[in-house]
Amino acid sequence: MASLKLENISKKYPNGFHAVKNLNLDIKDGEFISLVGPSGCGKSTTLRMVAGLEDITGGKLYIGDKLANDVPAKDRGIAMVFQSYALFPHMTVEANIGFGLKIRKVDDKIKREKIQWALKLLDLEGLEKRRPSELSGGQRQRVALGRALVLDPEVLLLDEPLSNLDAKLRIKMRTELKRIHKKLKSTIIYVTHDQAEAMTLSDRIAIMNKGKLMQVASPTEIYNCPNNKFVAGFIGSPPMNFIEGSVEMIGDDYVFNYNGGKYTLPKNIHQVIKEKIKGKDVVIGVRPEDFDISLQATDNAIKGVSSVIETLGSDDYVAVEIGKQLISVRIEPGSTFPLDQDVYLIPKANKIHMYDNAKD
Amino acid sequence: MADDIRNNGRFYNIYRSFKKNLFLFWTILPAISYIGIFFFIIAFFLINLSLTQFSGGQAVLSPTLANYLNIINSQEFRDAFIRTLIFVLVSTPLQLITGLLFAMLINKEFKGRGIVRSIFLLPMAIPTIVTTAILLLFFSKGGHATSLLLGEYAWFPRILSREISFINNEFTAIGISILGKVWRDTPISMLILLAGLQSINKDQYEAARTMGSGSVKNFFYITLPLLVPAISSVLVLRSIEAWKEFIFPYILAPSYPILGVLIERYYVQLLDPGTAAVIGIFLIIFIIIGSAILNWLLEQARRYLVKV
Repeated sequence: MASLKLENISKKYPNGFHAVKNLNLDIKDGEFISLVGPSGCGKSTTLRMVAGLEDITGGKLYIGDKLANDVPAKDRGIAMVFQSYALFPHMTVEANIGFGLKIRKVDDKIKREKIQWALKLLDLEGLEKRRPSELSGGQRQRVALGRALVLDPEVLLLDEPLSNLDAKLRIKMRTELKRIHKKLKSTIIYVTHDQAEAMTLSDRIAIMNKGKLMQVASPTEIYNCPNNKFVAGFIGSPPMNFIEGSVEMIGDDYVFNYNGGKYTLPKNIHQVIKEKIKGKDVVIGVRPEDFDISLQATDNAIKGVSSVIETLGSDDYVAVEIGKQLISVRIEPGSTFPLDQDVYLIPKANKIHMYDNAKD
Repeated sequence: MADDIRNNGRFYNIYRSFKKNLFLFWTILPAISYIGIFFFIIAFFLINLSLTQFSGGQAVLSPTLANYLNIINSQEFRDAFIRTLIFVLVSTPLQLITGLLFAMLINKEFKGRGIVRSIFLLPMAIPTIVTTAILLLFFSKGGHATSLLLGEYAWFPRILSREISFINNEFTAIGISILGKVWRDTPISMLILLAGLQSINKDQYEAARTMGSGSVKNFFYITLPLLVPAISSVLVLRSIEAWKEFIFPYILAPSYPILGVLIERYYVQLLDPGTAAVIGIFLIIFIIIGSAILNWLLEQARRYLVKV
């Protein structure tokens, strides 16, 4: 296993497109880190640069303590699982798993042992002689994983490996991956656009947008303290609510003006406003579960109108209209909630996030 | 009746699948009849002809195996068979190799790829008779090739001291015929192989690259096995074409006939359709045996390439 260091890594294509911009990332030995972001954010390009499949046009990549920019893919000690699995359709399961070992001229006995080990680890026993076309999606995915694992890679790179599976199988494979990581303690870089996958699997999450790294932190920290509006909106399902408005100082207090209403912000957010907020136009972000909702008129609350109820089984959400903005508030599951009524929302004091509206 | 069929499971399944696919059967029936009728008519007349002895263009005896016995004992036939076999064994792999090289080149992305592809397709667009005429002009006695090698053009050094008659030498005459055939038909192989290459998922090469496989290993372990269906098509189609070849050796190697040319000689020049029909039947048998051997070899090769 190895640690990784990405120092100011950039990727600029000949047509001028800047796919990755000055990315800095330290990945610890044995860490499971996810690169998350919307399509085209540069996460797969970053992974491919680490793999050696894409040239690095700027910055330095260290695998262990060795500079690896110009090291060919095969000598980087990495193994990669592709979104399409990239299995060899003409080879059986065991030939697929053993391909890398065959190329590396590994002794026949050791090769067979390793193939058996992978088949057992990934629950593929009995399928050795099958071709990929005779396997289910989940089985193919495991063959692809096995093919990577038998090489004992220093770093395992996974490029959206679960995205071709159905929802149920995806959750099962998620647990499998976690189990394998726990057992093998390999360093894993996992690319996904699915924030739920990243949250459940990773030790740390690196969120990217438009080629830039937005935040790197543990799933809990990312969820609770997103350091910009993009991260706040990307992580969480349903996503964080954003209410646009402006902030002004009245006496000792900061007051948030929104859609004709006023809400006096709690004291603990004053420091954030002083440090981070440059302009007058702001957005406050509150997660659906961080509101207290009431039908009784309350002095300091955000006023809206209850509109519809969404039932997910484990949770119910009520959509509240605040002028033209629609926000989602979690309520007790199974409770009946009157619709088309004035409601008063009180955000939990330490759960309010505030961002400059212009900047992000 | 239906009960009887039901009692026998296997036949019942065939009956059921036939019933299920009845519509499909009706749709392909015209094609089957068309091909079938022509096949049977040709086969019938061919066999009939082969069993008839001719003299001076007139049928004199039927049925008789005389034509078969004559051909089996004929040195001319054996020579023609060996020449044809050499023609097949040399021109088929050559067409595969040139076709594969061109297909791999065109499969790469580069500027002007469309133009290069058009140039590669050009030989197919030129009428065969024109191609043979050009080769004849080039290689016949006093042609450009001899002039060139004798140093008659200032820009090329003299290589030969006396003229070689390319057309009157068995080795060179058959060689030139093969050259013409390969040049003319390479685009067909190229197109079949290009389609095969384009169906290979690029991720497979990248996956192999991360596992330590270089271009040569990629070619042998990925490209080649995945191209086996396309290669099989090329080899089978091109070898059949080579067995049947006529025009190139007819013009360029008239003194050294291969089987196709021999058929023409017996049928047209010697007015002996019976013997020509026997050679035709042997040719069909050779094609069937040749294709069967080829398919077996290809299957062995594929198995070897995908071994663990």
